[in-house]
Amino acid sequence: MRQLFRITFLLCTLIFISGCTMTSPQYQPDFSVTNDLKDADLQQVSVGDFSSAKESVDRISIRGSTMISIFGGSYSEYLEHALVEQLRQAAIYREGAPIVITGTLLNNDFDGSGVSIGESNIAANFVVVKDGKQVYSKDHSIHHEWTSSFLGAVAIPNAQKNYPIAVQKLITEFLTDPEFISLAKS
Amino acid sequence: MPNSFNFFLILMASLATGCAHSIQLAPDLDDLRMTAVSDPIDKNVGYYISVADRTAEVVTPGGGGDDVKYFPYKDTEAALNTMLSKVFTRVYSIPNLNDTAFFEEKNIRMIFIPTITTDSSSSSVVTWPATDFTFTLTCTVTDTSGRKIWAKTVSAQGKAEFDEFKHDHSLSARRASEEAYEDMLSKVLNADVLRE
Repeated sequence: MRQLFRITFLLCTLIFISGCTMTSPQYQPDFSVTNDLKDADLQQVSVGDFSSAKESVDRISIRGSTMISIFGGSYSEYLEHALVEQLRQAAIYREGAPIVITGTLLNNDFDGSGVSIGESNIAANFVVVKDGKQVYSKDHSIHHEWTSSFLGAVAIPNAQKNYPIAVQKLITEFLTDPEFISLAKS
Repeated sequence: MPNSFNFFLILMASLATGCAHSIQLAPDLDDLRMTAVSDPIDKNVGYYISVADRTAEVVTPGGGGDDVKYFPYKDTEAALNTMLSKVFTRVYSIPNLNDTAFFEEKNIRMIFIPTITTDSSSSSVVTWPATDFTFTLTCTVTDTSGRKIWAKTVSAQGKAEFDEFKHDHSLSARRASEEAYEDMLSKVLNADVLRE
């Protein structure tokens, strides 16, 4: 009986700890801010390169499973594409526009290990160049929490689904900064 | 011993049970964005997706006895906004259908209300992604008092084989939603009543 228990326990352990790889979900724009951006009479803006401040920002592990960015494994590129999509939905994005936003992903902590709450802390430096001159450079950061679970089968997908929401919050934080709004005004 | 055996049976049963895998219906918007619109409509419009719809998770069959799950409204809101922005001057997300002050402030003339139904299936017994996906979209348009002006339903089917979807498990669904929104764009452009 003891042996059967041991075998079952080992089997369970192997099944539950085996790490696998998944990809980050596609970014979904935050439509609660698009109305305000559309009415703000902003000039068209473009987006340049986003870089990673350190290697660790491109590594996300959720309970032993690796979540790889859909943009070649780079989470700074994920942020860049997310920002482009958010601006497009607000109808203020134009490639080649004289106002260019670039940035650096400073922090990308994403923790799905909690049995009741998962949390993430993401920070980035956003830089705005207008007509060739840098007019804005500011760090923005967000803290995001979601419901987690003791069970990996519930906790891992919950965490995965919450990454785009955390990125939404960071982008919203930047796009609704009155200083950015004022310099992007027509 | 019987207790251990029962535990083992329960474990095996739970592992063998089919599960639901998350996919995203968000279509590639490049084609929709590049669609040439020669005669846009100079009106502000809104669209309304209820909180219940936006948070509704739908489960339909995948392959191998498993299911696929997704959020049809949340996943395709960007496509709806993009499609309407191709035609109308300004498009707003409406938080409340009874907010007449909001309609007046934004000069909204019409409200689009989407209804989405989906279905999926798979010809595979060993892989879980859906090889066939059906996306049916109805757009009902009302004026700001709630009077129905126009309604149209389009339905699209997306297909994806193993070699394609091994890199994108949502592929058949994305293809279906993309075609549906492109089809709806042409229906909206051809609806004379929306230009009156």
